[in-house]
Amino acid sequence: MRHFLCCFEGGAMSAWIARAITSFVLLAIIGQPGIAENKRKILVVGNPGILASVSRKELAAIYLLRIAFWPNGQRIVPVNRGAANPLRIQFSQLILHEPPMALADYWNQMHFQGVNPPVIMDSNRAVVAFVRKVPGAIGYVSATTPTDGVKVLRRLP
Amino acid sequence: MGEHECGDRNGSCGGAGARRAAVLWLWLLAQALGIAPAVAASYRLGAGENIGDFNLAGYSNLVFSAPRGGPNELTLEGFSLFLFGHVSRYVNPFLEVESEGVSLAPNTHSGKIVVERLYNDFDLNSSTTLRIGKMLTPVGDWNLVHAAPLVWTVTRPLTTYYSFPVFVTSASLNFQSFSNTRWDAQFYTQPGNDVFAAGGDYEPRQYSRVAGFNVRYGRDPLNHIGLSVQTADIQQSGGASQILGSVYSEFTTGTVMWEFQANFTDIQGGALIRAHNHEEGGFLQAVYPLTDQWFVVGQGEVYQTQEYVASARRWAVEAVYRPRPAISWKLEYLDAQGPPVGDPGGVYAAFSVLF
Repeated sequence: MRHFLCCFEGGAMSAWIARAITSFVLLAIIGQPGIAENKRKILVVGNPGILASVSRKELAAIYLLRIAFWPNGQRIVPVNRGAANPLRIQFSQLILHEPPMALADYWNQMHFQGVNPPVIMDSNRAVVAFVRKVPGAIGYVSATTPTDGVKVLRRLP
Repeated sequence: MGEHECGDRNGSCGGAGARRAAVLWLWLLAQALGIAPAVAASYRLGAGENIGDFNLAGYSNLVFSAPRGGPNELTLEGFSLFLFGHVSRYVNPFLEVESEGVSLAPNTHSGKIVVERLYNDFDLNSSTTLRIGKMLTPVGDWNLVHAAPLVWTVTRPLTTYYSFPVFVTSASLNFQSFSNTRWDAQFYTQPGNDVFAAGGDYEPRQYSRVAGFNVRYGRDPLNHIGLSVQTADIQQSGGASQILGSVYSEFTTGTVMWEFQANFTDIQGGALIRAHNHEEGGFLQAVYPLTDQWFVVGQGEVYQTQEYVASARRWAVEAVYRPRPAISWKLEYLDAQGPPVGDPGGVYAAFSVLF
């Protein structure tokens, strides 16, 4: 340690320490995938036959399978992404406030009780295609996804 | 005829049943390991297969048991298929058929097929459902989600089944809120006997004239508390009736998931002699995640039954590996002291798949 310190003197050493700390903090921030992904915009999209907008509370109730019908009587068909998908992780934390693994357990329990869990789609385009085709369907996609033929119900975060 | 028994008397269907069960189990194992051919592009393990308005799903539970002082055994403890549909607001049928206790040892004959659930849901409005038929009794959490891949231990606590009917054939009115408060409530009544009564592993008694309610409040899917109250007549007791109260909860503290249930049952009347006029007890379970896929489970229970003077005292430790939420490998050590009720102490291992 003494050998290392011997090469710096006064203000030069302080500046080096400040640069090192700044670099470390910046690297830590950039290296955090969660923080980077939280900046991703999400579009909540629905079949054109349903509501014009949906609140966060309604979204949570829909994905926790606590409401089954739209006001027009159409059955709600929520669409999800795969368990490890970053968009699903972000959506789960933003709207459902639970980690995806815990929610997967919850949906399995609901399925055992006769309630269909959200349908899983493998890509943003697949979500849009499904929502466009299936009456009552609702899903979420990244903001850069073309949304032709579906209704944008909400922008997150 | 709710049950087809393959007993020792004819000896003709146990071997074939065991072979079929073994084939099915091997297919499930291959599915779990990802080496079986896909049955459909849309199929995902744990979500069942959608067939029009219907969903066909099920679960399997292969158990190796080495009870203290008893023979080791490999059994297909449960192989269940359930089919449900959402055809319209008033047509939402549900059927579950289960094969229980099929021994996979050569030249053994066991197992039975049981209709566990058969009902229809009438969605009266967005928060109210009328359910008519045979259903799981809403007492505590465990009974409603008792499928092996969905619970943490191989053996089942006495608290979750011993003092009440696990099934009722009834009309049930179910309420569910979704606003600022997350309340669920069920009110149900079974005027006569349970249909398709099977006398399964977790049905030590049969009941009639059952009525009860269950209310549950949840902050979120992982934290809730509930209360169940039920009255029933016990069929094999010479006219005894009982009233049960049960409180239960699931909650998290940090990363530890807790589950708890406590019952008190008051028994009155009846011609048979019993050690107590009440049954009471409870269990507490803690699940600690080591990683996303590995868990350590600890469970303790004390239960006083009406038949025995002494209480049953049980504790279990378990290692659980869940590579996916629908697949569960478990290794359990159970210590059981007191009267011979419930699963005996020993070592248990299980492989369970929700498919």
